[in-house]
Amino acid sequence: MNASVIPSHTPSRPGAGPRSDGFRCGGRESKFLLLTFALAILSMTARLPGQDKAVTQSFDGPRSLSLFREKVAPLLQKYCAECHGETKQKQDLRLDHLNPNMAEGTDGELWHDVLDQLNSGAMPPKAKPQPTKSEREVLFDWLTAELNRAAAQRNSTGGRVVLRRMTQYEYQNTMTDLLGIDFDFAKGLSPDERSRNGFRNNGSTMKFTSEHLRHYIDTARRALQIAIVTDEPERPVLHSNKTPNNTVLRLNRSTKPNERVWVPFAKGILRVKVKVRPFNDEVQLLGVAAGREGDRINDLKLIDEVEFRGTKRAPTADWPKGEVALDHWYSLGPFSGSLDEDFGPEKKPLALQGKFPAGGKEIAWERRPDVVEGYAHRFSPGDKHCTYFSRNIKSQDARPLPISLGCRDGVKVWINGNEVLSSSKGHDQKAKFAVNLNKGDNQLLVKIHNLGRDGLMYFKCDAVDPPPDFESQEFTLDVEMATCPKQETKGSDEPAGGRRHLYIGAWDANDIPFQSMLNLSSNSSAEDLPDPKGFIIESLEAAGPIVDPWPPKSHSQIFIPSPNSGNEKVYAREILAQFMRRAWRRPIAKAELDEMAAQYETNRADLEFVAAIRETLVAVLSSPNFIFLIEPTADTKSVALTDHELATRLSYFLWSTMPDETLSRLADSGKLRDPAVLRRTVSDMLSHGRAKNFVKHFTLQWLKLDLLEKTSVDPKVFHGYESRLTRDMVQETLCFFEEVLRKDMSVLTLIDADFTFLTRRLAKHYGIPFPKEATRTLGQYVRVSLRDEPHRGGLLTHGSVLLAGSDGKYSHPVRRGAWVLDRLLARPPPEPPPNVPALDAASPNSEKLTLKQKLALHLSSSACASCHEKFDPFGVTFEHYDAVGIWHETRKLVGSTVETVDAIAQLQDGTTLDGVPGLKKYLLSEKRDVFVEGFVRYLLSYALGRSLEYSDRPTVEQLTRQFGKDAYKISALIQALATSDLFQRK
Amino acid sequence: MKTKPWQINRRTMLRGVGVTMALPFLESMCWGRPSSSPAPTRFCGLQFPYGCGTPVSKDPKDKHYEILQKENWGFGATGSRKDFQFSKVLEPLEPFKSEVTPLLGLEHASNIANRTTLHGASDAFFTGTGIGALNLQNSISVDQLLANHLGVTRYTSYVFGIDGGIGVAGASKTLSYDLRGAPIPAQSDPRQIFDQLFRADKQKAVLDGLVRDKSVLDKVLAESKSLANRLGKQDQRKLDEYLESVRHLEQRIERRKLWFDRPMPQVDASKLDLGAEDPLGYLKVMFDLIVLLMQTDMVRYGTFQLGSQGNNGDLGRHEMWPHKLGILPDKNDWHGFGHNPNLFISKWVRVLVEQYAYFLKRMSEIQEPNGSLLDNTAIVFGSANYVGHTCGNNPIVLAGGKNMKFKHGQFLDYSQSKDKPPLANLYLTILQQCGLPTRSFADSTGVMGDLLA
Repeated sequence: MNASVIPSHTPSRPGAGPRSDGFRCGGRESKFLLLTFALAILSMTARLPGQDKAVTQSFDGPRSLSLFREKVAPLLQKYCAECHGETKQKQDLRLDHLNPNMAEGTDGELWHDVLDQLNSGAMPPKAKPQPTKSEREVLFDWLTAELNRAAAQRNSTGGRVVLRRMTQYEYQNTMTDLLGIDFDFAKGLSPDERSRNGFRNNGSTMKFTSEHLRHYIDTARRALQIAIVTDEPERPVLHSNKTPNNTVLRLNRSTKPNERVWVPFAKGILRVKVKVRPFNDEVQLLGVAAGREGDRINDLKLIDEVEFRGTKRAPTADWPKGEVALDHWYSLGPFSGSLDEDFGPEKKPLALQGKFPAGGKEIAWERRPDVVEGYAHRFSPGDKHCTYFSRNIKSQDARPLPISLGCRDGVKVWINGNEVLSSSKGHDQKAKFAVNLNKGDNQLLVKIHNLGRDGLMYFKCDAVDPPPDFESQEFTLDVEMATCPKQETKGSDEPAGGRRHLYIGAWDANDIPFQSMLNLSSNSSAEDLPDPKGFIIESLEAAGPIVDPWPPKSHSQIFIPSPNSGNEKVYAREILAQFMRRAWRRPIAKAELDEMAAQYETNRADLEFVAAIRETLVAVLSSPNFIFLIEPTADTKSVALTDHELATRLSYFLWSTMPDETLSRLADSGKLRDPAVLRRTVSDMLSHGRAKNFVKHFTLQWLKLDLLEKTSVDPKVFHGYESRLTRDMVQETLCFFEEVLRKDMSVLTLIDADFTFLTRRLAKHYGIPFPKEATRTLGQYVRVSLRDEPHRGGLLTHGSVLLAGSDGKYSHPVRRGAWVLDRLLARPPPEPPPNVPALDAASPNSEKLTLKQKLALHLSSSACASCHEKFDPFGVTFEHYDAVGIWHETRKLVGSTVETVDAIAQLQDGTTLDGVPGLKKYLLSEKRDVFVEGFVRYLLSYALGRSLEYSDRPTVEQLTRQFGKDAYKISALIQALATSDLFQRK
Repeated sequence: MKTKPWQINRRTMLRGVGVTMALPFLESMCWGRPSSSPAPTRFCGLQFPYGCGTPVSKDPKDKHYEILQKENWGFGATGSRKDFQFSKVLEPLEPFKSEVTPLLGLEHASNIANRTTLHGASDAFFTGTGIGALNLQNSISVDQLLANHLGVTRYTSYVFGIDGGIGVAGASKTLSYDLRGAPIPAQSDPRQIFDQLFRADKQKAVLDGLVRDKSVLDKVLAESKSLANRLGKQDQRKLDEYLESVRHLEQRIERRKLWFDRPMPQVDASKLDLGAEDPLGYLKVMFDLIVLLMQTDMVRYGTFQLGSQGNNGDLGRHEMWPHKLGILPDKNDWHGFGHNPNLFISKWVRVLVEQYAYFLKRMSEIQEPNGSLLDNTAIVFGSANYVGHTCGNNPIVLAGGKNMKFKHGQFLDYSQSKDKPPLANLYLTILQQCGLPTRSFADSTGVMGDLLA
């Protein structure tokens, strides 16, 4: 049949004339088929946006039927009809009887099978004529598009926002804002799954299970127990791990640098005062972390940190005083050789000058303020290497001086050139021995012969220290106890609320946290004592709980001041009314309040007043009115949102949390819908700090980077890669997006830009010079110009995106290519077919193939090729960047072969792309409109919390046009989106 | 429309849930002491994702066939039904040769007929529903059917999985589905499982807590009902999920109340490594927990998903494991791993089989009045995929249940037979032998006599 008599985009009349030719079938069947086709067309074309909400479409819409008629049906006739047509129906399949409208028809799954057969190369049979490559493509594209449309339609929300619960992070933010306490509300809640379009706030994908309800009830109860206080404030007490009920924990450098503190209270703040003495002027971090006893370093939760750098101390004249005084240590080494070999300094032990040959270069004595008395100094000279340590000791008279010296390797000690100790098996620090000092200057020389990788030296004696080079500094870190993980209870002597277990510790200049925090026992040997890297902790005090004001705000915003606070019944109603108004994000009907008050009365029957209120609030916070973003309507026609619903939509779109007081009041006033007010509100919301939530969640979900920090980078390949680098990469992308948003740059800047945001660490990783004037370094993201960096600029060169397109070891061109197609061009590749034949990669030499040869293999299988040829080439353009985003000119293959990276790719349509610059150019020129429209679609999808459908097309087109007129400013797009009917109506 | 016999019994079943509950088995027999009362029947369903090569192929020229055959790394055995040798994948089961039956060639015909996606097949492994690319609605799973009818213990079922939660349809993170076909969230944290299931309800505060919870649930239920009237159809369906979870929690609370006064078995947790994070330690402690739960007769039916399929770029936890264990040498690339003919996936599955063997060992060591715990438990270990991560021809090893008349020490290969029994027949057999008088399950055509003594 040929349905060309039926205009494809106007409603057809029943009985519109059939004409038989081409893909035809005779008699009764053809009439049946015609009717099916006609009905299909009728139903497709009748569905103009807004006309019929009951029938909806995928975003791509009903263009496919005319395509079927003109292109697909003739091909099926040509290649399939012989066995699956009028005369023969092998496998009982007659293709011309299948309804090509998969969305409304019932043959979707059969068509799916046709696609699989075609894909796997099983059909047409090898002996029969085969479709050409372009014909195959026509069939494949139509089948995929139509199947996608059908799938989307099954999941259609009728072009409406579907009732959805808060996402995990929205719940966390909302509870934090509502209760005003810092608490891990979402802990234990399983994460929201990614929907087909990539977002986690999609109402249709999000499920609600009993696990959720259980969590909401338990969490509300636990959190309210912290937010609401029933007792008097505890008097702050100083706490110590050694004497739990005693006054102060003081650590001086004769004990340990890092200390655990048991804190026997759960509410309020623990104020930690730490005095540190740095050895250098580098930026360093000091922090407090919490964890359970026995937790590993990475399990600890960082509560607070402070950044500091040492300031030089003025030289003092009052040293040396006392009988014996020490100068700083000096070190020299390493030298490759045995313990008995003299590398030079032993000949002239009293001089710390001169150069010594070692490993082909000249080395000299080095002053070492970081080798501190009473600490085990760790160093890594390498196996079977010798290192010298020397220091001057000034004595007022000749006398013996007992010293402790600990080391686990070969050691020799001289005083003034006389050997006093020699051992090939190390020395126990507890075996003190004396050295004889002369009056005046004495030279102590220690030589350590390393066996194994790491060396260790511990020294202590009873003498006056050298004056510190840098000033001591004191810091105060506040720890909100509620945020700390609770120690599991073991005994019955647990204080109410449980214990918290804190670790005070430091990061060294390389920013490795807490490496030396654990393993502290009271009988520390030299090996147990960590090496202070950049500073030592001189003293530490922890005092708490400090609660200010009392009762805390979290309490008084529930138990509001009221003249009726003496009258329980009235007061309870007031409390409930005001809390429900905030929690449910809308005015509360009297009936609702009455019912909740009744719930309170039930609770009050066997509970104290405060507890009864608390239990009632648990019900408020477990109610669907809180958990779900509700926009009630029984109306089948779309109606305008109420002001409060609009405020809620805006708030969860731009802040990922509940509306604040200002926004709520605006909704109360009924002015929010006023275009000028709305415009100003959106603009205010975007400049508010909470808009960071939008930046974070939209960007990470759009670019599929939200699980990046879980990617494990192979340490065997990337030595010294720290997981904090991954965090920096994610932050780079977020800061970058935020800058484009806040500075009103074009959205195209995301594709190519001449700036980015780096930390010193990340700059070093990329090999980009870090601006000198940027003094604060470790945690700080600094805008860096990329004018002189040909390999950086735009999202495509961000470490985050590149790492996501890797397996933590190798770059993954297929993943990177699919990402470009999916995220930047908004064309998600379809699901792989059920039965994918294997690639012929079993040949033993496949490891030696170049990337392009491997991909060619991918494309040689017709089942893979139909999809993979659409995105594999994009992936090739990234090949200069390795798994962690470093740019390379060449690459090592298996064995020792080195190849020059070939990042030139040819697209399906013949376009040649030369590396990422070529890809960027291609995206910005040929694909600019596709990228821009894709961005609009993704933003709209995120804002509405649903997948887009055909009926949304006009809005997308209109927004895209307006976006262009607004020079592609994202803020302008958000404004336009917020005023669109789709966003304003339900 | 097929008739599902258990649906006829729905009313009876609902009456059975939580309300009419028999005394726990343990109470009459006192743990470990010999008694004349028969031991209960139990079921455990284990499933691993991505499949494993079976040494059987429709096309003998298939590359997979060759490589697996040559190296004997297929999932299954060689030899005859009675006299067979395990392949390398199943070798760890050697000590249990007389306690297990490798089964090849079973599949859910409905999966094949509905072009279930290769990932979606996992969702349906224990339900037998044809989940198509367009239709993701599932139906009740074997364990839940048993739990609903025969669940007389403290907990009706356990639903474990190494990723936890439910995931999304087509890439589920649970194997268990309720009567409506809604997924039941899997628990994944050993410590949490232990705390929740073995914590004694001794304090009055716990009972008070249950009363409070019930009160909250009553309130929110009333609220949702009035809310439902103001919602459109679409939204009402979403709210139904909420209502269903309210009912589910209510049932749990009722059950806990009923069991409140009964003594909780004292369990020594010191030997359990509840914090284990390395793959093998983790699997071990999860199996230990299952043994403990069944041994103390706290629960009889359940599932444990040994890994989920990736969803839209999100990888499950186990997908890092082969690399961590050094089985996957070069890449952490499941796509290549799954679709290419190589031995890695077989080697990985062998690691899982080793854990399965550990589980069988533990089960066989626990003595019950009429034999071992293993003799009273039917255990299905298998995957919804076979070679190259495709649907059908499911690799399965059935174990245990000798007291339920299961006959082992045989190798049943239906892959070449003309009328292969549907996988649902295996489940029907298990259901009946567990004591559920149902005549069919999913697309079953009858019981598998081959399995029974």
